[in-house]
Parts: sequence; structure tokens; C-alpha cells
Amino acid sequence: MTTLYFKKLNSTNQYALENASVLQNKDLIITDEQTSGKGRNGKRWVSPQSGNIYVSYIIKTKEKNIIQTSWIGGLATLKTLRTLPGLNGLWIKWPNDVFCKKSKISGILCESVLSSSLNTIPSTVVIGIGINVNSTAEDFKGIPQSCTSVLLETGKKSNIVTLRTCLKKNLDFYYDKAVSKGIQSLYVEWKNENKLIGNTVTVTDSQKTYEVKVLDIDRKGTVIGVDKNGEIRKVLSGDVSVKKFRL
Amino acid sequence: MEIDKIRVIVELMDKHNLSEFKVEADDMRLCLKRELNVNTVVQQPAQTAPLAGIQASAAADITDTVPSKKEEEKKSRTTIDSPIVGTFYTASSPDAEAFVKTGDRVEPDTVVGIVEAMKVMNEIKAEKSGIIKEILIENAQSVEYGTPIFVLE
Repeated sequence: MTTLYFKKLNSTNQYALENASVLQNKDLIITDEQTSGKGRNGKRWVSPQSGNIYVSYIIKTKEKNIIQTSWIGGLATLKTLRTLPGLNGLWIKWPNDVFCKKSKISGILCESVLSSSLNTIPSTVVIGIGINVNSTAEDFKGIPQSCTSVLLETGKKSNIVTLRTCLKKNLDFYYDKAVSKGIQSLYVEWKNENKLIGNTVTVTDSQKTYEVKVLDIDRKGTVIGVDKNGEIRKVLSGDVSVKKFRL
Repeated sequence: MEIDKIRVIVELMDKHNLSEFKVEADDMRLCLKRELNVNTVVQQPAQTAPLAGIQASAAADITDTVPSKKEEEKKSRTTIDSPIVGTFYTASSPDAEAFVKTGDRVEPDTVVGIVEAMKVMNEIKAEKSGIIKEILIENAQSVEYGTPIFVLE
């Protein structure tokens, strides 16, 4: 496992995807600034050189089902942020972004290169993590969503080198657990950190927007909710936002 | 499917008071519905029209459908299928150009689309060489494991 540092990149995920064939399991790509940071569905992840974390963690796997691999990213980020004194109200917003109270403090985007010959070539999963560490309110101007940073929450600047080292350690911890005990060994912890159950959420997919009251999150990670007509809806992709907080 | 096996299923449905039973395999689809003491039994090849509206009065009314020429063609065509369950996207973002369009030549390494599930974006590669003859799934539609997305020439 190697850590590759770049002063500036277009996107750590983009670099990882372009170099997937030569990167190794548990490699970490890090940069101080992204010129084209990526979010879901072509959204931009604002990535100034403000002392934030922009990393991509590489997983090589021969598993056919790789979707739950993303749980590693959310849990590792949460565990890392919880080491910081004075940072309270952290939770995972399905499927794997990390929020501090009502504002997004970390975004996670996973991308994969699936192999059709798993016997010989593993698939590559890239877990891209952005954490707003030392961003100021000025950095978030023009962003429609409510965002926050460690600095804004605690009033203190944090050392990103220390925090990145901690994040790498936690990524390895959850990855090793998933390998030795199976990815389902992370399910209960991941589910419990998702504060969706019992809340009404707005689901936006590319076709429509609708509301459901969340009843459960199953072992695949699917959100199971009931809509206003009493019909059960299963959500596996799309944006989910909490309508009324009961955290 | 053999009639004896279907009879067993019908008997089990009756015994356990089940109103519906569905099973799908590579080359067949079986749907049994039971309402007001009437068993409705329909068997048909996969990927044909929905079953609604087709009724029979008893388990004996089983029709083994002979695959039509069109279905035979479906079986013999070369397709690029979804490797996972999720939402299919033709492009990397709503504003971006589609990875491929009808008439494009693809090689095994050509990225032809993305299937998303739980914010994991999975690049789909052609894994075969050929020319895109038909795109079966529209942008942002749900796909299951093995759903054919592209037909190759």
C-alpha cells in the first residue's frame, strides 16, 4: 500500500480511475487542491486549497457485489471526525455522506471499474472522500446546500496531515474488518449511524421527487419507506434529504 | 415447466392460502394467481408482455408457449448487459455527451455507460467488440442484474 501525494489534481477519483490498472489495494491518492472535484451526477465538489482533505482510497476486490464497499468510506470518515474535540452531532446521511447536525461536512463518491474476469483480474473500487476541515464561510458562498467545516464548528484550525493519517488508519481498519469478517460485519454499525429511520425524507431521482417515511434500511443498504398512499417504496439510488429532523 | 411441478405449486398455494406465486428463470416466467377459489395459471417466455388480463380457470389450463421468431432472435443477439442492479446512465453527467450512440464501434475496453447504486458509480465496459445497433434502456432507467442494455451488430 502506497500513499501518492499531489500538490494539485483535477480530481483524486479521476486520477485513480485513469490509473486503476497499476494502483494497488489500499493505495491512497491525496492532494491539497482539486480543480474539478466530483460529486454525484456531475455535481461539483468545491475543493480549494484551504487545508481540506481530498483523498481516494483504492480497493481491489474479486467480490461480484461491490456496492456495500462504500460503507467503509462513511464509517472511516465518521470515526476520524469523532477524534476531534468539540465536534458534535455527526451522522451518516444515506448512503455515505457525513453530516454535522444539519450541514454537510464530508462528501463521499465511489466509482468502480468492474472486471468481467474476476478469477484473474479484480475489480477496482475508488472511494473518494472530501472533508471540509479548514474551509471558511467564504469558501461555501454560492453553494445551494448547507455546508460546514471543522473550523466553522469548533473555531479551531486542524492539522490536515494528522487528520489524513488518522483517516488512512480508519480506512484500513474497516477494510480489514470487511475482508476478515465479510462486509456484512459493518452493516449494524453503518445502519445505526444513518439517522434516517423514523424520519420523513425527500427522495429525488432523475425521474421524480417524492417523500417517504423511512421504516428500515435492509442488509443490501436499500432504504425502505412508506409513501403518503401507504405504498412501500425501496430506494437504491438517488438523492435523499431529511425533511424534518428527529435526530 | 413440467405440469406435475406446477400442480405441486398450486396445491401448496391452496394449502397455505397464498394468492400469488411468481418465478423467473433464464427461458421462462411463471405466474400463478389465486382468487376466490379460481387458479389463474400463465406460463410464458421471459421478456414478453405483462401478464395482466390473461386468465384461465384451472391449473389444467397451462399453455406451453412456443418461442416466436422474434424471441429466437432475442436469444441469439449479442448484447451488453448490466452487471449490477441500479440506475443506468448514458453519460457521466446530465450535461455530458453520451459515452456511445447507435452506430458507434466499441472495443472490449470502451466505457458504454454507468450504473449507479447507493452513490457508487460503476463504469460499464463493452467487453466485446462490435457496433452499437440498438440502445434498449433509456437514460436514468432502473436496471436489474443481467438486463440487456445494448445490442451489438
